[in-house]
Amino acid sequence: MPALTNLDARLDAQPAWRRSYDALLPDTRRVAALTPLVHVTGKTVPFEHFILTPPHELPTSHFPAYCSDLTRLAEEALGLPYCLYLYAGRAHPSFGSVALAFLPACEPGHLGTATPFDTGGLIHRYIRLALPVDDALSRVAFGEQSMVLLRDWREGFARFLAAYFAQPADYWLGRPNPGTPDPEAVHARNDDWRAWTFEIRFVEWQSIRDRAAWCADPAFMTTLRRLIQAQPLAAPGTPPTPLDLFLQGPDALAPSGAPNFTEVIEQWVRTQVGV
Amino acid sequence: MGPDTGWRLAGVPAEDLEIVGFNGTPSVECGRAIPVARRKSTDAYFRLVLPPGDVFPPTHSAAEIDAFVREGRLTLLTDPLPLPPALLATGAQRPPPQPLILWASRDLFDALGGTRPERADGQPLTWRGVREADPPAWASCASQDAVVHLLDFWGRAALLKADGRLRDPDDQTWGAVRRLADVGLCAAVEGPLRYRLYVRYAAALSLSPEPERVRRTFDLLVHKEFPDSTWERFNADFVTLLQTLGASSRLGHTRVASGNGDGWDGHTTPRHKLRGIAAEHYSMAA
Repeated sequence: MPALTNLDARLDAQPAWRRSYDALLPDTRRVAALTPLVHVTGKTVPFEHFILTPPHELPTSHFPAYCSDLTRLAEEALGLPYCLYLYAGRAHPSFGSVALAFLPACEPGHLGTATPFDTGGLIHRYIRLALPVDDALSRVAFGEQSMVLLRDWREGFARFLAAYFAQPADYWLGRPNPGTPDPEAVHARNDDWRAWTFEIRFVEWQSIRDRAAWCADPAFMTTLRRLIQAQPLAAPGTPPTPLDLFLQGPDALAPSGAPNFTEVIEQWVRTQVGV
Repeated sequence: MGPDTGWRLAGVPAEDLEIVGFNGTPSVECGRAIPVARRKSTDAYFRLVLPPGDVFPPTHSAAEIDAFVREGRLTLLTDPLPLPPALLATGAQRPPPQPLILWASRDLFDALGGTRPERADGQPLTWRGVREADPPAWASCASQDAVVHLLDFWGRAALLKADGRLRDPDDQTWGAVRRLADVGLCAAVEGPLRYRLYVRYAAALSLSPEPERVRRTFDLLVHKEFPDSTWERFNADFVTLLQTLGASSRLGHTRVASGNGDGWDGHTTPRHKLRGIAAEHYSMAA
């Protein structure tokens, strides 16, 4: 049964679980309301492309080179449109060398959906499950039943944190509480945090200039430094270049770059949400 | 499997593990990255981030790793590397050091001279080629401290060479100084060293056909990296450097615009002048 399905009825059936849930929910609602969305980029399309090339937006999977065919296959299986993928507050280095964080205020302009796990991992079986029949159709059904609309995801996230984690910080630093119900063993059978991280999907592109924070590895910061140095000198009154406009936004959290850039941005996220 | 050296990753002996690649791709002259390791007995692959607890990191199959390589998510080595000795020597009393991959391309050694060192911070280094690297590149794996030590060593080597070029009475190329400072900044991690490299970079720019770039360098790079720095101090630092090394008058008189029109190659040797004239002549003829 997906994590949020009939949650209230299941909580009522287990008084101890209900008590801990009720105790945590005010704090998890506060955390969920503040949690930034994070996207890691630069894997197949260098991030400087998006800095220099209009519309300066992170694309959905409709942009051919940005996502693999596996991503589009998962979307097709789940009946999803082309999506831009973000995680609630977490950053995985597999997706590139630059992590960008967006505040909740970026969401009202978007349509989309969310799930309490990585849908690519579900469909392509990187996430291990204990389904009665673990075939493609069952996984698709599990994925569809787990979806919430974008406008509802923060309440779902708050309930998910309160129900399955001993404390909100464990979403970033630990794992789900092994004492909580987990019928499909999504949490028990996996060690990769993408099995219990909220995946947020926008169906529109997202401007990189709306980022609230960002961090990159040292090699990208060297590339950016060279772009800055190679930019032609301009006379007063000359319109700012795309690079100038990018640089007018928030500075990188690590100005010379950090090999652990995903940890740096997650540290920033945890500061934002106070855990 | 060889003899058990004692260190284990979540119960798996070190002899069962090897480094096969690293996260990301080598896009500049040198850098550091998280290693990708393989558990030999199960052919399972994982990012070698030492876990806080006794939990083996999430693993991937060989097929998944092939897909990640095609997608540019990670880079493979020509042959596996053993785990770094500093990790194996860790006793139970202290936490093991996080290993990192250090990569360096031929461009780095072309700029700095020298070759791949055999030790860093007292630790022996084993080097392997980086697959499909252009220009050719090599990688080694060591503790984070040793990797940073070597990167700073290269940064310092670039700084010394840059100063040597500024001091050399026969040397008339600001572009070479800028290039050395640039490569040094690619390598250096330590803050004071990076500031000194920026000073060399600014010194070279101040002698270039576009000295206005110095202020831009300060505003967009130096001040962001060193928020306590001031323009007055930075300006004084590179002017003093030039005066101390006797470079300000000498180099200032020899700069010329580049032959390719962008004013950015900085070469002023007779050969480069001839090359610029030839290129101009050729383009006119064409």
